[in-house]
Amino acid sequence: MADANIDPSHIRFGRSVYINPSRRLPQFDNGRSLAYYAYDSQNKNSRLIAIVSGVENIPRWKLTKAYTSLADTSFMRLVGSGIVNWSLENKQKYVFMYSGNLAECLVEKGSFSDNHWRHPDTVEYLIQPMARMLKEMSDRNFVHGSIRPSNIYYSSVDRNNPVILGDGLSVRPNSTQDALFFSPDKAMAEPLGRGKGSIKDDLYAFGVSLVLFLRKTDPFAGMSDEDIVRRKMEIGSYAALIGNERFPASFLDLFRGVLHDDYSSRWGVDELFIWLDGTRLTPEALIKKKKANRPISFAGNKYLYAELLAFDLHKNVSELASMVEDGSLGRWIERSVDSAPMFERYEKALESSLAFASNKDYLAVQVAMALNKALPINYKGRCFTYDGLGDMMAKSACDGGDLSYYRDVINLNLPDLALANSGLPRNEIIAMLKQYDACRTSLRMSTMGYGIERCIYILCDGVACLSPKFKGYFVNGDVSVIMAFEELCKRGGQVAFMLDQHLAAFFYVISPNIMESVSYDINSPDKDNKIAGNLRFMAALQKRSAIASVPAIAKVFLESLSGVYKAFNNKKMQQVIKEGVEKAANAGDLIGMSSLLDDTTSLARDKKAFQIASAEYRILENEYNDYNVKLANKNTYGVANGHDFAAIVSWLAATIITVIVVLAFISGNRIF
Amino acid sequence: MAKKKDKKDKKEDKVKDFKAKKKGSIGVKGRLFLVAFILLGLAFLPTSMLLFFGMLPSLVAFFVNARGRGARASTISAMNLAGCVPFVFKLWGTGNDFEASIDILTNEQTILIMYTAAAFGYMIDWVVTGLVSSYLYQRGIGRMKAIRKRQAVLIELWGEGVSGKVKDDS
Repeated sequence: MADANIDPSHIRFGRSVYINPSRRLPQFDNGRSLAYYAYDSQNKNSRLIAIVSGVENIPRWKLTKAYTSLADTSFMRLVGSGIVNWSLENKQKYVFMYSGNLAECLVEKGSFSDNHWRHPDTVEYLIQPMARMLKEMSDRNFVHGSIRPSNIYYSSVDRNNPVILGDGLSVRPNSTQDALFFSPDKAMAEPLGRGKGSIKDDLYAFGVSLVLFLRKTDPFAGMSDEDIVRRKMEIGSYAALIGNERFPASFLDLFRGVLHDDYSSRWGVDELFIWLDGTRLTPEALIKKKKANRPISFAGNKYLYAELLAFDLHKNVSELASMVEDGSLGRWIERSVDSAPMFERYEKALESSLAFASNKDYLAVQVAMALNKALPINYKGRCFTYDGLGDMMAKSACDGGDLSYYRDVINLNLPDLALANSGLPRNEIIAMLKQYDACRTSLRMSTMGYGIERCIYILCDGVACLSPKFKGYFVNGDVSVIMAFEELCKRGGQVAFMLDQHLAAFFYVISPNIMESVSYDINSPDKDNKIAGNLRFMAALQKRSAIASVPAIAKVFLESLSGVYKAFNNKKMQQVIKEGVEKAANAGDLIGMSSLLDDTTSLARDKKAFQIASAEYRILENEYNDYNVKLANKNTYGVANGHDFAAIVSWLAATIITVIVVLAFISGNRIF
Repeated sequence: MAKKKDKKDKKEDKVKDFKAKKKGSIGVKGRLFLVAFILLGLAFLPTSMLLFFGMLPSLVAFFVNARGRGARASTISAMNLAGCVPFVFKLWGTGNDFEASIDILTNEQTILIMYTAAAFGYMIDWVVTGLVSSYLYQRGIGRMKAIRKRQAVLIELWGEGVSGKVKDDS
């Protein structure tokens, strides 16, 4: 029951929590996931922060359990999450409800920290809690992906408390971070193309956050993201970020460790704790890039490093093609850069490109990978990492964009190419390659639930169903599908073909068993089979979601089932089934409707009886035709039998007469 | 191959036998029976003579009727014989000789009775055959109606598909 004192414009979440949509808390925003003030109507002292995320942000709702299991008090405490009807935009959104006193962020975006923390305070209230959190996340295989000074909070009133790390669930990991927070291998990828990330990405972001918190000057002032990345590539992240800034000497090792550009040489959580214990660790030195003897001109610039050239190759693929064709690029790598392994990779890349000789963009990707293995894929103006494709596809589908680009990317094996250069453990590479193989298989198939839509759900874990039917709804599982359809059916205009490409693909990925059981029917050319398959699917969802009644959906199906009853041959049986189905439909019981129509025992019995009836009909027809021929001549029919019967009668009469005569003769009487 | 040839030969023999029987040729048993019948007729010549002339309508019926209508001849014969029996007994009661036989045969009343009996047999055949064939015809018509009725019930119960002619789209 809604509290009478609650402002009707406040949006209810759960039993007693309300979100005040007119009171924003912008300091807690995470990208396009906006924060609002919320409160518990039964607890006046409650202070809640609702972070509201739309389908387009692809919130990580699946990780709420993992997040709540994180015990460290420096994580924002998640008290609830779920779908709400967001009346401001008249659509459903996913809300992450955090508790905690309102606080200030460590450093606002683009500014400097005005807190003059002492060195021990920085360690105690910032580095130590961050290290603990990173350790716990690492142990639970959880990636935060939104570690930045503007998402780390502290209380300016009582500073003797550890910092609080803000929300990381309402958006994809790394998707709301500036390029500054990434090592060069990921920085230039699109926000949603940066992939799932890892704890080492979080460590790097933590290192950058610490630099931003402690710095007094901005070495990147006025520089674009691309310039920052180029700078990092030229001199390394550590040198680029530290610049001429004076930091406490003990922090420099930490920065060197966590800001290491080489993924495998970057510090992990264990090294961070060793450093916290006071043990001096010497981070590995950056592998020096090989400088060419002479520069090469490309797109109006001169390059001395192959790695930097690779970074810009996508900018002019035609020039690259001509450089490859005239052999100048090959000669430069072989003679000026003088790197045999790089030249070998380059030759292999050219060999691989031959299969798609006309595709210059493909050539650019291949050559860029050969020159700089760590780069993300930059194909036809879009940039992403080996595991970043799924999120990008999901976003494009959500925005109603063209997905043919992704079809090309998958069919050209570009993610596989990047994976081979990723340096990831073999088992992780194999797992991802399997996913891409599944995508390619799916692209080859045209049946419902396959195609590019399936690739989205394979590659983007946790994305809500992006079916156009669910525009304005947040559909992430059985319950939400049922509830959304029930509402759509109430509005009217719905048909019994509820499964579409997106919904089928979505369930093939999250619940393959349910789809396998209906795949034959939903792909059948027969309309009635399709309807029966849809009904069975919806009934399975109702059963799993334990929603007792969905009368609107049931009504839509009921209106379309006239042909489905014909699965039963017996008209009386059809009538009985129809009445049963109508009864179940009135009760909103899809399970009952489906079980009546799919009763295999009754169907088998009906089929057998139909076969018997057909045989009887045939026998009767033959008999009728027989009679028809025989009775054609009325004068001859039965005459032979008549003669026979007459003979019997005659002999009977003759016998009686003879007996009488004999008796008369014996008795001495004469007849004549 | 040899077996096949034997089978073929046997089949041909059977066909020949069947054709021979159809043509009216008498077998060994029939011939023996005919000889016995002639001998018996010679032994009881007055009776045989009486029966020969008395049963003339039956003989005519046997020869006149088309093949396959032995039943009608049988019907006439039965009544014809019943008409002859009293005179056979009369013959046997009056000496059983030629004279008595001729006396009986030359009596118009005797011939009338014997031949009327045969005519009565013919009448039985005509009436009973008509009644029976008419009854059987009506019964056939009734059965046809019953078949159609049952088929209609089957269609009503199972749809047109049960007839195997069309798919049920109702």
